[in-house]
Amino acid sequence: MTVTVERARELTGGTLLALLGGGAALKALTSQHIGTPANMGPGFFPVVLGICLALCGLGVAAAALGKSLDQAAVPRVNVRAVALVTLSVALFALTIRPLGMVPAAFLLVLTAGFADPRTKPLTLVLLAGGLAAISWLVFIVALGMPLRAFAF
Amino acid sequence: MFFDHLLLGFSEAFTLTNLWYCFIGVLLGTLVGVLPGLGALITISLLLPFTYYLPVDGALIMLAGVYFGADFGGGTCSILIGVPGHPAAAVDVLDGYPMAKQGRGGVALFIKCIASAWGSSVGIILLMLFAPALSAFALKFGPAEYFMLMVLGLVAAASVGRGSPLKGFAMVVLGLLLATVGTDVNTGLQRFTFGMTELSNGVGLIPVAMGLFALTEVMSSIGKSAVSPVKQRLRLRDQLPSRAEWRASWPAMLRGSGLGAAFGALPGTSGGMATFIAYAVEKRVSKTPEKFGTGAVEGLAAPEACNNAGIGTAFIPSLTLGIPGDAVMALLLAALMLQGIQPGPMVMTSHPELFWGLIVSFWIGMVILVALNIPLIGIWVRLLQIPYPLMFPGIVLFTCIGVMSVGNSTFDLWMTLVFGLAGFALILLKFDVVPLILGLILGAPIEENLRRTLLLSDGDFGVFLTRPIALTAGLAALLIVALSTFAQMRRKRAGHHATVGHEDIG
Repeated sequence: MTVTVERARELTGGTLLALLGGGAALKALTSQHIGTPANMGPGFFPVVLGICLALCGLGVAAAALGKSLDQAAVPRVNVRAVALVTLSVALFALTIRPLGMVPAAFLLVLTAGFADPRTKPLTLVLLAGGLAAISWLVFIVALGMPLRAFAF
Repeated sequence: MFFDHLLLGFSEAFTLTNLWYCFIGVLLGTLVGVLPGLGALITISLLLPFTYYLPVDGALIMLAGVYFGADFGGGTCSILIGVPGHPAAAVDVLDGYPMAKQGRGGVALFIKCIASAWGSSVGIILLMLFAPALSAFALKFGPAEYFMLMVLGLVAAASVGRGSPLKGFAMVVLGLLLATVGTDVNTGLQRFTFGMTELSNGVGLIPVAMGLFALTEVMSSIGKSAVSPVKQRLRLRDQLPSRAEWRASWPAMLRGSGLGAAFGALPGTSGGMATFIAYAVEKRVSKTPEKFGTGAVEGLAAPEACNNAGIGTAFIPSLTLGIPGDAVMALLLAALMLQGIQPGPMVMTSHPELFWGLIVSFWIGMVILVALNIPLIGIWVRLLQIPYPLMFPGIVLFTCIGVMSVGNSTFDLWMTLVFGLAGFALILLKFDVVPLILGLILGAPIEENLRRTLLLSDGDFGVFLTRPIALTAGLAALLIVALSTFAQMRRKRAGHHATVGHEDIG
């Protein structure tokens, strides 16, 4: 069981990199001038790197097929954490222009904070308010960053 | 000449603003070092965008202060709770925690602080001695030498780090490939921009660093075990080691700092690798190896001295050649680049005040650190109890504000998010993201130097064989590849993991 987990992981990683490298090499090959070693075009270096990456990826995948492997546990992903942190950053990106930095910061902290189920809602609201206020004071008042605190 | 420079450094470092940045840096560094879940890397990533608003010398002094401070503070958590706050402090758990359990936590913290101070001093002295000579020498390097030295740096970083060398190498190449995104300097043509004008300036270092180091870290740390309370008496009286403990620890510090200094100058060896070697060496030479793991002071003193000596010497290749050995050094060079200074041997001749001011501020910072860590340790220990659920939303917030502050563009925020998720996936697939950052930062100069070399030699790759320094660097790179492949194969055959406790910290 554990061996197959590791094998699946290495195969996935290797294949992804091989595809990425191959894709990059192909893209550079088709859309850029390659040139010669003495006079390289913009495509030369990317093509070489893409091929290198593809070879590395294939190597990683091949190594996983060939040899005996270390023991590995099934990796546990905290889906709630990843999803809420992602959502909080996305919300910030979407709201900072229309609403301003302070409301965006408040929303971000509130959303991200829910990633840990142990935090109580009231604590979270206080934390969000506090951090929004601090970031307004530090970044806009003290450091003078060109961001608007409130856009409305 | 040397003293002139030192004097210049003093006059630079002792200005009120620079003393202030030094103080802020080491204070912040100690704070984040003590707090579990925060370390030098994530803090410097978070601060990087804001250094744009500071003078260049102050910015560098502050970031370096954070690096040293985080290291001094770093072992506190390992020693008192038995959980490393970050990878570099993992080795402190082995003997520091047993000491704390025996009620000798104060002594352990004291020894750790002294060993760190000693190690740092050795590293800084070596930096003062070797950096000027090396950078003067490096001024004579042509593009062929630079290209090969960068290859050597990247190969070393890829092979010596965690996990298999092949995977490290893949990450380096991925970083280099990311660096080609944007406008090609020679022709002005767009590469890999897919029609997005925001990408014409390339993939920003800040969104990548903030995504890979801050967001990824937060995503994988949420929900991990809570911190248990500390019950230790930490008055100054409880911290002083006995005479026997002194006698045991000073030779260990000597050996540790020697080892650390040697390793620090090599790329890719930081982040705890060298400290485990120092620990193993100390155990080997000890007359009482059975005591290791049960609270032997040598087992604490040697790795700490090693770690800090390595910090000092790690500055040598970064400041003289512009080739960073680890992620923190890469970020420090990024801070220079943000201010419009291209890292390389010219930095020391065109901005001598920057280098010498930094050196002198290291010494000032160290005095502050010893003062912060020995008498005031009680305060830091109380901070250790701040729960992570209250900290991480702040980290995410400062990441986002930091990214916004540099380019004032929401596109950078989306990039940060993409790299945060990509970093999470890479870590899940057991890839180390540090080589990626090194590749990204060296991508442009390595391509430029390769193109220039082959233009000059008219496409003849033999030029790398005819220039002695380039040839030596190339051979060294090959040797590292061969050695690490060999070590990897032997490890696989032995069928166990690389180093003690290294896997579960990442």
